[in-house]
Amino acid sequence: MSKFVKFSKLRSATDSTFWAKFVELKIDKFKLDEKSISIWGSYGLQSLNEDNSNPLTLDFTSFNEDVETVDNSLSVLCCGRMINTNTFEAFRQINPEKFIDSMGKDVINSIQDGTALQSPWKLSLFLVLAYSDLKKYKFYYWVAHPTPLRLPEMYYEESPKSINEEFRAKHVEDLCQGFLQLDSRTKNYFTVLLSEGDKMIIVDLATGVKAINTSNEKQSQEYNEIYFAFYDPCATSNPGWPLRNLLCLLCWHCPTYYFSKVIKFISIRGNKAQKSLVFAFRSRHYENYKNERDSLFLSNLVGWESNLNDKLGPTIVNLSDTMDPAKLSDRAVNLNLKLMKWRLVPHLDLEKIYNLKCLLLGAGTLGCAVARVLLGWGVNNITFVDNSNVSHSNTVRQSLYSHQDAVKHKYKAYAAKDAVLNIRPSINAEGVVLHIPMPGHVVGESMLESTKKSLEKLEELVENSDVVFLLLDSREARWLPTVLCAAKNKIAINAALGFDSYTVQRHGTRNFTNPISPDLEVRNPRGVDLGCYFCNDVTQPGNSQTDRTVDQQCTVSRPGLSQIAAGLAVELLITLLQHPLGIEAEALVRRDNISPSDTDLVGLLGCVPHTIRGSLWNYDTHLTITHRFTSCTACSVPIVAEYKNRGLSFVLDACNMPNYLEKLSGLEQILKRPDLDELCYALDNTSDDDEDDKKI
Amino acid sequence: MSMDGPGTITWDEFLENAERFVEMSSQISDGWELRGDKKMPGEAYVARKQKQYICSGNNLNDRLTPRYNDDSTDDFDFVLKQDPFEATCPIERPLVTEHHVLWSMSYSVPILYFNGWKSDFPGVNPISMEEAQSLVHNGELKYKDLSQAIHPILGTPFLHLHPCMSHELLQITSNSKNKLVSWLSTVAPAALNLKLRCEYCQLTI
Repeated sequence: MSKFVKFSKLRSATDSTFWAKFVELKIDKFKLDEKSISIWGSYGLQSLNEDNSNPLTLDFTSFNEDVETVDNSLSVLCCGRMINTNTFEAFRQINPEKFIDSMGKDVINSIQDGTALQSPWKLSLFLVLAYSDLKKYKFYYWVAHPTPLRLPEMYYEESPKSINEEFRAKHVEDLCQGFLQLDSRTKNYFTVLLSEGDKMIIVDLATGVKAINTSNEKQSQEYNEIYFAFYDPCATSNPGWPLRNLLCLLCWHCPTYYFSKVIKFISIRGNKAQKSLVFAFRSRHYENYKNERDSLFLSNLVGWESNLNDKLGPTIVNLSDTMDPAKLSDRAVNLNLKLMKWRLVPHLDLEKIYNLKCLLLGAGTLGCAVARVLLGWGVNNITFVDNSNVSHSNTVRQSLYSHQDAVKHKYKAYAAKDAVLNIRPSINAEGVVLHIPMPGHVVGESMLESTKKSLEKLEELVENSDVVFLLLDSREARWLPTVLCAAKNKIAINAALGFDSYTVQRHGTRNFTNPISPDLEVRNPRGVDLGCYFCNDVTQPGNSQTDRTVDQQCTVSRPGLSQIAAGLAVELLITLLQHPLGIEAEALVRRDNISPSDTDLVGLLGCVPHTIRGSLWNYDTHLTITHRFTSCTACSVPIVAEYKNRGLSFVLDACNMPNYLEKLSGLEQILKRPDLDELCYALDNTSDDDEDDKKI
Repeated sequence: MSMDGPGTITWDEFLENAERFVEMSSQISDGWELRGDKKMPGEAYVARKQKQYICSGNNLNDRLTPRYNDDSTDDFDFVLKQDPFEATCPIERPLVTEHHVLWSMSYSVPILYFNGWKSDFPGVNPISMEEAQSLVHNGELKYKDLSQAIHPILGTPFLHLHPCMSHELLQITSNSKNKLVSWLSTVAPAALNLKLRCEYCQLTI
């Protein structure tokens, strides 16, 4: 073999317990201290993977102070130094070459002052340079195994042999046993002697070096053979990195021998040393070997590990999945949904649902119930809008609130946000306290500023949402959100409760280039031809709270009703999201004969109706359709165009001026038509599902 | 012998088999241990967590090899001094696996729960169900057989092999002196290529 000897690099592996312990110590003990700290690292001897290299493992015991607490017979123990910078900038600015030169100096010193002869673990010193982002549980670290760069070249005297070829069985057994009996730090480096009486003796490096030097002086041999042994975590045909510092030590302490004789090394491999190899090396002939020796100890140090991308650079680990308790719950939550996907609906797009941004207008019985179903589907972004507080009468029906919330009189928007965060800590939840401007609720001078702010906030919220749920307690409160959803082209899901009846619907989409009435003959109209909550109305929404007693002002519903309506509202949304046509999906009507191959009607989770009406009085459910109405007071072209033009002043007019919306939308004109009765008759006969379309 | 009919194993037999399995493991020190409450049927199980390193290059291993393309590593591509003494080495990447053998009270058969993570850290970069399925050699397993489930004792998500096919396997191995080992050696390849050392074979004869 003509090529000089090369060495396999080392690898380290940090355990998550290492970082958990480090975080604890950083907070409680080190604080802002950036000084280097002593740590332990070990090569486990329990590993089964003898075909691959054995990494230097760092775990929570690495920070123990007493060697007794980390010492065990089943490992090879190494000492290290760790520096953790407080800032990412400081970490980036450290020059790795300067770092290893200064921090690794101890290796050179321990060789030159001879302490490494008695304490061989000083040769396997390792360095850790780290930066820890304690908030994000993100750790940057880079490990080095320092050794001088300018090693005198060594050449193979013969091919590596297994210990079974080199030694007889008795000696192989003695070697393995002897290795296992060494204490965990001495296992790093030691000397193996074959005495004249053919006995195998295991001694420390100092004894080995002494044996070499005395035999040199006396020109006689006390021992038949001297082997220098090192624990070798590498599994390639090359010797491992730890041999380099052993060579340096021999070069310093027995230079004549080093530069003239064949030196034999035992590379201890395998968990019981059973895979060990014997290497025989001879140095290249140097004219002036003393120069070589001196320059070796003046040279720069090398030994940085490569990261998993096989680049020279730090390893970056994100442990938030294991260390952040909020994230731990996440995987479990997603499991149920994944089971649904795997077992029942393989094409279910869970990502789409997860990423959906839902705006819940109203955080009462409906709002709470809708939020819970959204949680069940794994929706990750929920914003609550409400302007009232939790009262003692709310808690039993409004499922997100507790008695404590009522005692503190918390805003519902905030209490609801806190409640969903309690249920799923990783969720992205917001609460906004906001009063929605309503037609018929006059905005006086004093309320002008707050109305302006409310409108701006609401516009922003709708803009940033994918879906808006209308779950408010009055009809007129739904008007402005309906206008905004039409103007900003957002999916709107509306749910409303009576005493024992409910309505759940999706609003149609609005295409403002087409103000013509939809074809009322089409049995299953597409989204663009479907109406909104106000499309059936023949008057504009007004103040429904005047002339009513307290019991009439509150929505008094049978308690089970909100759960039913909320369940339907969310399922309607999910069904349309998973429909290939989305919100444009054709509306299912009662008594449709559904063919599963009708892909305009049937989506992944089935069909998407427009309006679902139900009653607990006779436990009946109807699917109905309301068409887009070209003179609707909320979603028609003139209304939306005016909103887009005038914004706040339009909203103020709508609130303050009686019949403003009727005039603007053209509804007033229609109502004045002499042929109104005929028109109504014609409309009534186009759809057989309109019999119960008169709301509230 | 089993009391619940062919293709099943009683809790007592499971526990006895498990104890002998763990005994053997401690002899050959390959890391299996018995956890949980042995006095309660179904509450104790055999478990092992292991870290291995896999070389890239092998097709099977490549599928398990994560792409470390975190952009932030690009900031740190240092060019350091050339070291002529450094040997070129194959890239080895860590894979942490965890295997638990439980006894199913409803089926009276053993069930294998397992997890794998393509990193140095259990919990980081988990092997998905789809990846685990793609590792099964014949590719015949469907999500009905290999799916994710909550570990009945720990309450956390694991991959598992559905016990319904274990009846048949147990029937085939009815002459075995340790049905747990016989069964496990048959299903192990489907569970992230779990390998049992050949020493365990001695327990079955």
